[in-house]
Amino acid sequence: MDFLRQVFGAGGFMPHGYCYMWNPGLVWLHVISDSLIALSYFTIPFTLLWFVRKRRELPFSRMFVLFGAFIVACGATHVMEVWNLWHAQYWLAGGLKAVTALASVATAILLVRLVPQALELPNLSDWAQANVALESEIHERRELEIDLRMSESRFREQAELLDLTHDAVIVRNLRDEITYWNHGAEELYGWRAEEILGKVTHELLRTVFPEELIEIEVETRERGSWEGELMHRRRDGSVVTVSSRWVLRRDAEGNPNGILESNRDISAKREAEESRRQSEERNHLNEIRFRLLIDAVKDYAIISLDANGLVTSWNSGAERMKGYAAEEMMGQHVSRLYRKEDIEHGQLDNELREAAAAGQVEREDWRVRKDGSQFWAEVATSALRDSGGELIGFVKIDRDITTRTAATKQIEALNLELTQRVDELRSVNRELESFSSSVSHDLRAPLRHVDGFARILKEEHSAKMTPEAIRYLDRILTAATHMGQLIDDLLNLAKIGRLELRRERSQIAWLVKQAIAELPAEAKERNIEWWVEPLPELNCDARLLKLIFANLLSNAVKFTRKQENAVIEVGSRVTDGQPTIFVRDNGVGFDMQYADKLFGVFQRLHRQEDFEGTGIGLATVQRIVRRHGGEIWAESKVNSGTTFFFTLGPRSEAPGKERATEIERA
Amino acid sequence: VLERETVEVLLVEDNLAEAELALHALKKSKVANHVLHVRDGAEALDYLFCRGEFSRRDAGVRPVLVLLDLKLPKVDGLQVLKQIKCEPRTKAIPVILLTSSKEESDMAAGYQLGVNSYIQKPVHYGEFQEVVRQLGMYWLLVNSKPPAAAFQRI
Repeated sequence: MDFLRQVFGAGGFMPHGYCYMWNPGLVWLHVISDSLIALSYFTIPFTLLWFVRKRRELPFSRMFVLFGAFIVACGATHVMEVWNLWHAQYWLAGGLKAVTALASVATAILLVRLVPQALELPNLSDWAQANVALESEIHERRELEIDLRMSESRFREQAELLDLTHDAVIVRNLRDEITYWNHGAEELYGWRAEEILGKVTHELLRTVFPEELIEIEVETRERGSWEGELMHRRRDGSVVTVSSRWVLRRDAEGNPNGILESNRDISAKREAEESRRQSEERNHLNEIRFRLLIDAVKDYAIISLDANGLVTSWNSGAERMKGYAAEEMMGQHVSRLYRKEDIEHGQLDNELREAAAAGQVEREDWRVRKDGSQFWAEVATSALRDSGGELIGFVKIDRDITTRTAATKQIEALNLELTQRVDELRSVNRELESFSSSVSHDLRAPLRHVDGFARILKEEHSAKMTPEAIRYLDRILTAATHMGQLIDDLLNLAKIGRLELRRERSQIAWLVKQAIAELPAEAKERNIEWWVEPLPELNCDARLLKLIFANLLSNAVKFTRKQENAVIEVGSRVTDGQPTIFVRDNGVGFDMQYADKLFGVFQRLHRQEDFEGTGIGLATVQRIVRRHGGEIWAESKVNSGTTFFFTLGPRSEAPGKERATEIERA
Repeated sequence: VLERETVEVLLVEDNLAEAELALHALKKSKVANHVLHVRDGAEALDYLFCRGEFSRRDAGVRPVLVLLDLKLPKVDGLQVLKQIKCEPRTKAIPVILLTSSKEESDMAAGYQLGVNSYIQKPVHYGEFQEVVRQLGMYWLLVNSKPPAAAFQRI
């Protein structure tokens, strides 16, 4: 206790202020200075302690702790100095100094031991330098970091933007291997990025280049970019046309390291362009064609008007019909084509109003030419409306029907004339009939008288006549007979022309049989061999057909008269699809060079004393054949007989056709 | 011309040559002894209806047969035929159209008007003679003549 009293007690010493003799200036100098030192000494260890705690990795941290203790101790001695100015506890002060001394010695020893280690540490300028370098590095890094962050976000943003675009964006390296493939590319080509990264672009897409690839590459390298159209294949094999833009990428040193290719699908655009081009071309052609057509129309005036009646087009037909050239009439009012009185009566207004209301009006009307002359026109006026139904004008088509009206009149006149002619013909026909009646009655009568009296003379008075007189009488009788025959034949011929053709299915074989039976007596008296083949059924007038056979067969009989073994043949064959009937004899025949005279009226190829005849028979036959629409011809050779062929229709007609028609009718 | 005499055949023919040939043929056929020849249609009707120059003749005497030509002056053959066939007093008298006409229209008209026979005169006189002989034989000998009652009004 004493010890404690000794240490903390004054122990009888005088306070230190006495040494300064309580000089206030000196006392306060010591008080303030010691207090400030103590305060500073106390703050340093705390700062150091905080620093050590913050920088645990700091070397020599124990040294810092020791140094802190030493400083605190030093501070405490200065506090003691102030205290002892008034309290004179010098033992305590000495003890404090001893502690401080211990701490100082320990610190000094430790410091000495640390110096070699501390010497290893960079010196201050080194630190400064390192610090500067460090700082600049930090700065750079920080900037880089910012840049990086910016570029990263920019890149992300760009990638997002690239994905947003419908364009296919492909990045490839210099070996054309794909390193980037955006969403647009996935959409366009059908491959996902992960499927094709690293593949060679042009192989994958089977690119068709507009020029040599090498040229495109050269251009891209030289200019940094290339633009053009490419054709690519999609995953599904379909072809797509793209508008392509290639941009050369360079690294930091400016060396090329790849190409960014941006492709836009222009197939639809191309197609649209193509179809637009075609449709434009078509429209253009149509327009030309239409204009040509309109202009080619010479007999119609085709005029278009605007809604106010001003002329907007005028074709060559209008020029021709109205006498105005197109350039004279363009923009002029249509009313000048009308008669003044008609305009006053509101004819044009009515016409346009009715056309606007009904779409079209047609009428016949007077029109005025440039020279003032008028013509009667057939007019059609149509309203033109736009797609909204708004009236935009009119199209008028006029036709000059003055001539048509005249033609109608002419036709009427012709018809009248024709009717008169028909009447005349009828009366001529009646006259002809009465003429043939006269011929048959009046000409035959005197002939009968000549024959009658000559015969009475010969039969009842020949006893008193010389042989010569009797011979003359015979001449008279022969002539009368011949003339009677001529009259009969001519009447027949005339009758065939007038006769109405009555076609019916007729058995030709039956007609031939009848004709043979009715032949003159000579046919039965002579030894004639008849060959009649089976014959077809034909659609003909049986009365007239029989007349043909009567003529041809009696001819055959007549011209085989000098033949001992006369053969007369009737048969048929089909030539050119038409049944052809023939009548053949082995009689005297005729020279074919006169064949053209064969069917002429009064034409004969033999002398009357050799073979009697009127020269009307074959003319009659030909007339009958022709009335049936057929043909007749003959083949002959002198002394080798004659064959007559005839058809009852044009030879080109198919044989089955007639029958088919018949069946249809049945 | 004997008005009161029996008339077997009335020949109506304007042409003298024609008439002479017909008369010659009739004579040669020896079937008709009493033939009256009149020269036109009017004369034929006068005779038949007892008019004009025949107004005083015996109406009870009628021809057994009328040989009628078609083409006649004044009143033609078809008109004569029509009047004969429309009149009860003459309707029953057989009328033969003896003509050179071969016109169908004439033939049709004749038959429609009630002609008893239509004969086309052959061109050859020999044939004509034969035809006349046959028709005389038939109408004057074979055929029964119409009784008096056939000529009365009904």
